[in-house]
Amino acid sequence: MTLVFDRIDDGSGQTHALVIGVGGYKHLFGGSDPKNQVIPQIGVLKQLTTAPRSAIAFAEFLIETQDQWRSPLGSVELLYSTPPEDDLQVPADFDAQGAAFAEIQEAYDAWRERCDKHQDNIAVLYFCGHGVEKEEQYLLAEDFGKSPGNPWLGSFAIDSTQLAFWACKAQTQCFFIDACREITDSMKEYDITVLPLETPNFSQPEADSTMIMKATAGRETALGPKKGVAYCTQALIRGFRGDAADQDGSGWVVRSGIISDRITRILRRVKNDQAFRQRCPCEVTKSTELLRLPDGVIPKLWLEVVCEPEEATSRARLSCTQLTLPGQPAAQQHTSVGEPIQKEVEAGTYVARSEFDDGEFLGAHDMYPASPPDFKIRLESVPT
Amino acid sequence: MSGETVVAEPARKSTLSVSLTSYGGVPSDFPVKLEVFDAAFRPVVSRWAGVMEQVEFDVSPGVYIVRASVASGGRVEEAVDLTDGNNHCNLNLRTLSPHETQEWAYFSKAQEPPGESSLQNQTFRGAWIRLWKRQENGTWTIESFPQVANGESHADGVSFSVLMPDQNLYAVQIQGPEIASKIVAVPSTYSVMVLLRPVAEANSDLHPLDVIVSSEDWSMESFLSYMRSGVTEKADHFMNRDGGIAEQMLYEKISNPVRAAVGGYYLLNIGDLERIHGWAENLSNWFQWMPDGPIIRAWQLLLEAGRDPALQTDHFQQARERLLEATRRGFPLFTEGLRRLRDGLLLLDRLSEQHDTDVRRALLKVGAYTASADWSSTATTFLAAHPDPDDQTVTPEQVDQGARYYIYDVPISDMVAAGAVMDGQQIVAPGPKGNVFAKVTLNGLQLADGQAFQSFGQMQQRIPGIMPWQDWTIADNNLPLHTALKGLLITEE
Repeated sequence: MTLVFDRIDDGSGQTHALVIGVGGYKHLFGGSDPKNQVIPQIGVLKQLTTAPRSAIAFAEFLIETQDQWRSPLGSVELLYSTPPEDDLQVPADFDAQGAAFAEIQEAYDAWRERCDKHQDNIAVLYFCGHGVEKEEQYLLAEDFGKSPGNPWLGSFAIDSTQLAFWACKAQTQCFFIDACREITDSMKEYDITVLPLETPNFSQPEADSTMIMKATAGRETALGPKKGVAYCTQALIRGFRGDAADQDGSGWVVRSGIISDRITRILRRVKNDQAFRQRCPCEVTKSTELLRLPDGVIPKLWLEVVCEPEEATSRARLSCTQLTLPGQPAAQQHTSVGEPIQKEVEAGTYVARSEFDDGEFLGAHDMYPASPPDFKIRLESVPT
Repeated sequence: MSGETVVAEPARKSTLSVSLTSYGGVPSDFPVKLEVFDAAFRPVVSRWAGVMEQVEFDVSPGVYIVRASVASGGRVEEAVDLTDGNNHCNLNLRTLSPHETQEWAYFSKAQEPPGESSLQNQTFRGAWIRLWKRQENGTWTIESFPQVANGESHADGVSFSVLMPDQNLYAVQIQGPEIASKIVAVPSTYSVMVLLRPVAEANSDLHPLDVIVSSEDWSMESFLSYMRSGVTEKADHFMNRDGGIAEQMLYEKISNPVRAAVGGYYLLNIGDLERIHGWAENLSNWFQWMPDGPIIRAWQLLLEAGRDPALQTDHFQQARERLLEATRRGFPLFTEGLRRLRDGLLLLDRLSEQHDTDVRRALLKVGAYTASADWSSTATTFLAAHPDPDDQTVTPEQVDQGARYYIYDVPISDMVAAGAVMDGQQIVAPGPKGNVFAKVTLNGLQLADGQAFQSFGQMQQRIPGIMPWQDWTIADNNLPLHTALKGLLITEE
């Protein structure tokens, strides 16, 4: 394991993150030390190129935004494993290997202790890798399947872990789990015993604001591009970068409840066929501010301008300009002829206009509010 | 509704008048959040309003963004320039729903906008719905739908309302020849609304039919949706207006235990155990049919034990009894309850180091619900062939033959078997170039040119310009086709 970011100060509220990406499964098919698994369907779980890349991307994002968090970033602990012969290029500071169960347990204990130092701490746990589900979701460590007769020794129960973590002093707790939740036929036949990383301790009151986001609905698989970042992780990072931001009068802020509310829409921008309501179930007990965009930074959104009916678009000259306030520099005008305007722009108010040189339709113009993550302007085009 | 929140204090004032337009498919007091921002989305003022209200805001002249949002997450926004003499903004909420009769669902329950998928697709041919009721002895029985009304059938969704006969644990089951069985809890209030619609885009990972079930208590349903979506700020505003509506909901437990349960879940979520008082215990004891009561009481006990270690032994034991009782009563009405039930049993399982066999058994049972639950739905929803996987009292044959109602497109063979139409009857379908005549056969419909179809919906889909099949008639008696389907189709029940 590696502390890839260390600015720990136990005397003040900080954000502490544990980031785990398990892509190399030693004892499964294609691993560096494959074993004949007793339980059917376990041995054929694949090596994952997505998981380590997703974990590294999330860790890099955390470090990049270190001072934007409501409680500034204090630490990032990173564990990952890669499949054999993966050509993953890793940042110099991130050269950490190893996500076996013992390493995960040790990292969790250290992270838990850091989070427990101050009630203003924000605890962030991120996991990407294989997962299965029976009574709850079990996440698989790098050495899962080491003992074929009891492969579950290399796994841990995440829902129980999250419940136990409530007792941590950190009052804001975020768990992001980008893993499958399949239940196999063979799993149904076995009485599986998987322990959490921490045993529930009800000697402390519950945390003020908790969030757990999972990348899949029950019985489904999480997805991502080969040698890329998992779709849900991409959406989560986009959300933090601004797609899930709202203006609070002082600036643009990302709250846990807004991430939960918008994740499906954001996922649609990442990969359209992955954007359905049950894709990323979230449980939020109380929405709270997590991160604030830097002063003066306005979140971007995907803006599209078309005519309605859309067939008028091919005959139109379209333009779109952001409304600026007095004292602000003039905004850039976006134009298009015969095609929709499709651009990444800043959130704000836009004046959109259509003109028809052939006179087939009446031109139109109006003002439109455009907020993250996307907005489509439909200019009503009346035939002449 | 009131409770205006002013964020910025303008110097000179103009009056911004905001009106809302809807189909009228929801009552005038349906809650809508109105927000006014400046051109850069900085919040200026906000308030809750009824869906038919006209609201005025005093703001400085300038350009503003006005947003109306509803519990489903749907929202309508307009930009308005008060400097050019225009001070009125109309927000057309009709854009959120394709039909008046579906407006309640698109306003109150989170879902994607209507997409390309249609109930005319082959996937939905022969899909049906049935009603289950949990009896006092714990068995489930198939029931006829009581008093279906306001049925309306469209290719993008079928909606209807049901007057429930009593307060009990009910569930609807949806299934079809190409559709896995789905179970959805029914809030046992006087009137229940149902919308069955195809999911927006075909996706092999998803069940193809959305089942949206709601009471007509729009405050409660809106609150549930805000809680489920995670937008707890809106849930907070909603529940704390008018002196604290959450507590009032618990007061009302006698007349409306369902509403009381929702209030209880909210107070648990915000950790306000004092306002729960002893009502959770009463809710648990007085309404034996409802699992949500003991779940709320169990969590009240667990959280109290967390705050006072001296209570732990006694409270953990009581919580254990409540959670086991909840499991014996079936599944909770609300997804929030399902989550709490699962989490509570998990906690007890871990605390006992997995040695409590009763808790283990209960956890396995609840796992059958949670493994396939739709966590985005406010009503408990899961995939199963029966509301209780352990219930052996109803045989598969009885289940097959039990009362059920088709949702949209009925196979002709089933209609002939039920006597709704007869082999050899002529059906008259108004088409773009005159009437189209189709003959009923044992297996479908046959046209004179040899075209054959398995259902009315399939024929309608394949002949461009033909009227909806609900407007077709039976030639020999001029009976409208939809009338012939009475008792067979849920909207004609």
